[in-house]
Formats: sequence, structure tokens, C-alpha cells
Amino acid sequence: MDQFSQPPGSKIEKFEKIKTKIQNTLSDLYTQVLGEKFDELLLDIVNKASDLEKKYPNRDEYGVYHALISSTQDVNLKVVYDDFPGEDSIELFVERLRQKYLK
Amino acid sequence: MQIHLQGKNIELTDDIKNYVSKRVTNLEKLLSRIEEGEGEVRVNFEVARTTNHHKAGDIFHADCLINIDGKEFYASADKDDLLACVDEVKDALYHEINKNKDRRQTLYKRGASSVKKMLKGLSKRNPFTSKY
Repeated sequence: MDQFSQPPGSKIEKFEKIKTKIQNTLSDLYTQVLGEKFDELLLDIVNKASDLEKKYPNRDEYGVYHALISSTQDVNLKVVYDDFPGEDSIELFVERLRQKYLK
Repeated sequence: MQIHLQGKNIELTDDIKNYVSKRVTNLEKLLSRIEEGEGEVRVNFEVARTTNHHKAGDIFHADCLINIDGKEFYASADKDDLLACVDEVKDALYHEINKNKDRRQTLYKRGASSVKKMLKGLSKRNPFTSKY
């Protein structure tokens, strides 16, 4: 293990796995969903991001939120390595997008 | 990654096995980045001598089918030298997989950029298809 790697099972390691899963699912969606479905997909993502914006004033601190909107996290902000709870979970949301658009 | 090497009309010596294995390992760096996304990678490599009658000319054949999570990449080559055949197949596959990766990156950036623009309120529609 080098000085930068995280111990197995750590919170950051789990977060990195979830983030990679979200990014890979979005990559599959952006490359395989075409035409009007693509526009619908974008709207679903934007609506989800807007909902989180209203519900969680500190959403910018969540790494998973940035994975969803493919943005870079502000280095001056605190980082939350958890997903949003329950139905607000982004991991759950992108999995539902996969089922909706890729199955 | 599962590698399956097959020989047709040719004895698979340790030298051939090692050579093919090294060439596939060169591809592995590219493939491992795909595998990180939990995709399954299967490699079927086949080398063959196409004729027993001829001593010269394109008497060797190599082909390889790589299946990455259901997506297939294929290349083949015929040459007078078996090892050159293997090299040509490896180069063609490397090019093909990279091209696909570039395409994915471009489409990913397109999707990500659309979401960002829509979120910023710069656009209420998908900026790439101009649809509301």
C-alpha cells in the first residue's frame, strides 16, 4: 500500500467505488442512449440535481453530487464521503436510470 | 481477464505462447482501465499455419477476438512470419480499443457538458440537439 492509498474498507475507499460506479453508469448512458431518449435522460439528471439543491443546501460538499453532474468539487469546501440517504441516494438513482434506459 | 490461446495446424510452443502472452499483456494496461469499471474481458487468440504445401508467402494467420462486457473487438492478419502476424493483430486491436475509448470520452463530455449548461440555466434545452 503506497502513502496515498486508503486502507481496505475505509470510508474513502467505499466512496471511491461508488463514485466510479456512478461515473461508469453515466458513461454507459451518455454513449448508448440516443435521440429523444437522450434529452429525456438529461432532464431526469437535471431534475434530480435540482431536487437535491432544494433539499440539501450543503449538496456541494457531497462527492457523489459532483459525480452526478460531472463537476469538480471546490477544494475549499468540506468533503462528505457519504451518499445521500434513502430515496435521495445517487447510486440508487443512476441504477434506476440504467434500468430505465439500458434494459 | 480470461485469455484463451488456440493453435490450428501449428504446434503451440512455449516461445509462441510467451510471445502472444506478452503482446496481450501490452493490451492489458488499456483493458485493465476498462475492467476497473467491473466489465468482464475475454480474449480469444488464434494462431494458424494456413497451408502445409507452401514454404513462403503469407502462410501464417493470427486473429484475436476481445469481448469486453459484450462489446467485441476483432483483428486478423496474414503474413509470412508468425510473430509479425501477432504484432499486427495486437497493433490493430490497440488502435480499435483506443478509438472506442476516445469516442466514449467524447460522448461522455457531451452529456456532462449538457447537464452542466442546463443546470446553470444557460440553456433550458439540450444544447446539442436544440430540443426543449
